[in-house]
Amino acid sequence: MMSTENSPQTNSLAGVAAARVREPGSAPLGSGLEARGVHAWFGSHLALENVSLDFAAGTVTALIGPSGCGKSTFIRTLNRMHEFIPSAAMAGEVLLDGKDIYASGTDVTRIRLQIGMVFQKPNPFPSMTIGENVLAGLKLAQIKYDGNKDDLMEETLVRAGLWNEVKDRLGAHAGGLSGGQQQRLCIARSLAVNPKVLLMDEPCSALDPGSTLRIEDTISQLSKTMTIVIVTHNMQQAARVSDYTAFFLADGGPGQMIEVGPTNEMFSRPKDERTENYVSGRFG
Amino acid sequence: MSSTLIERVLPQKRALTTKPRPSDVAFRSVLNVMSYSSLLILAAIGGFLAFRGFGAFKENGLGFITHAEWSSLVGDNGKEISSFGLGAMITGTLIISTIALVIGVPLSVLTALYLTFYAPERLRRLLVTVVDLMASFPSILYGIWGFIVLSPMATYWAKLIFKYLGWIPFLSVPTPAFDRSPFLAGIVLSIMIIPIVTSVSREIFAQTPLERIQAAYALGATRWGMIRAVALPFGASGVVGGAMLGLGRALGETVAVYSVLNIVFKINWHVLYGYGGNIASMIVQKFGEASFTEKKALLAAGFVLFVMTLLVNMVANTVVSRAVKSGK
Repeated sequence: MMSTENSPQTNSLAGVAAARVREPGSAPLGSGLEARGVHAWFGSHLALENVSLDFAAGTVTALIGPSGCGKSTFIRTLNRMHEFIPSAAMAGEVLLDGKDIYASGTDVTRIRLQIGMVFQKPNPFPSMTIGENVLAGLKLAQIKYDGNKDDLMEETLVRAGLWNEVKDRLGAHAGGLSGGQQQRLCIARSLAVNPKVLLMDEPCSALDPGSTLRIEDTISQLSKTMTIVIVTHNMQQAARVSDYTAFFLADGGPGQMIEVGPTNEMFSRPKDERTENYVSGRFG
Repeated sequence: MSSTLIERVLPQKRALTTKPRPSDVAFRSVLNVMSYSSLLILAAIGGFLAFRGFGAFKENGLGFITHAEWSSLVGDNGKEISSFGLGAMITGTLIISTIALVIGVPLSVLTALYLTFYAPERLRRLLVTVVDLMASFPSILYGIWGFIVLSPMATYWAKLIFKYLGWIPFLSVPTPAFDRSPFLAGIVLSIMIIPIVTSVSREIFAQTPLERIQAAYALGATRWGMIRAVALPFGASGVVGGAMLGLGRALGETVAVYSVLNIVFKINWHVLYGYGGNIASMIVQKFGEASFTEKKALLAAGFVLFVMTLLVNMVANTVVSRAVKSGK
């Protein structure tokens, strides 16, 4: 993918999307992430009904839809963060490289190492320095890292697009960074444990437009090496960064996935009228 | 520049007043009296102790705090010869309280961590009730239990500790007398401070920001990894505050210590050795049979204890409220 700065974005993205088009719901991928008939409950309230969605390795998929449509709930089922909410329950399967991450006998911490997550609000550990934050995952998951930790720190900060801004103050506390920098630090922190998939739950909603652009640039860079799923309220953002877009809607009942397709098609000629109404700004 | 400056005429700021209704005035004055009354009572107690004990301070000078001897004899001429020093009791109080903290705080913090992050909801509620119940348990019962049940066990443990760690100066004993030691009193006290330290720690841990907990888990953290990286740094100052509130209770504990400790007016650094001191229980022991001068000295001792406890509690409250407010 070309750098986003010197190319007309929509055109280049359309080209990228076309090159990667793969019919969702087709035969198992074997690699990448697949959701199969995912349902989610909070207590007795069914929040999400029967979502099946494939995320091919190396693609960026945007989940869009109005508030309360279950897209955040869905993304949280993909790395088993959903179950942290008391009384939360789920049904269905989520396959990572063909293996169900909800299968009994699965080590959840291993799953979360392979499927990283970036949250809406930047959440670096305030008691740690910038450098310690980047390497926190290794410590938290008790991983013995054989390579040079300084190199890993630099590499991940470069990939997250933060290196130049923090290289002289890796020993400073993370709380002193701006919101956008903190969010990129959180991305770097997720990258340090080398996940296959990165889930991003509205990563830019708390940030200014400048920081948002930098993070979108980071996402395009990362998508060369990993699978990315991003929840966003911002349709322009979905158009800018994603190869595929899935539209979620809760029409009075539980959230459902209405439609998924290559991003350029979803925005230019969606099949479902409700998608059309949403992407053209008639509601939401 | 200054030539372009136009002087603005601003109006006088107006006083923002309201005429309170009589009912409000009445209610407010009642509340005022109520809330200041506890302050007044505290001041009255402190003032009384200081006033009545003043004579003892004056007669014994600084020795009242530093000397270990406490004696009051009536001489042949019917005159009282007395010397009062709190040295042994003050050091004893501090030693016992330290032992209580060393044993009680880790237990409480681990309990709080379990209750906050591990226990299933039902068990958690049950345990919280039980721990709170421990706080309302009369201290004489702890004392009796400590004397009858715990004492033989603690004596055995003390022997074990002495056998393997006796080379450490304060764990040695001059003669093998392990009964009714500061060690035993410290254990009893440690159990008594568990409720307060646990509940303060639990409240702080429960406030750990969810987003940070999720951040840790999303990085593949084990539960213990999350606690180490997120909950403990967040709760540290609250735990310190809770420990100091526990210390406040330990310093003033009377009956339980009185029932298990062999009170002797001699400074004892050997924590396993069978005698020690504690201001509060010493007052209980002496007060009934005290002469007029000794009573004065006991009230002065009470004043010392009053100041110590007040200081510790004030520091603790500041630490706790800061921990809660800052939320880090």
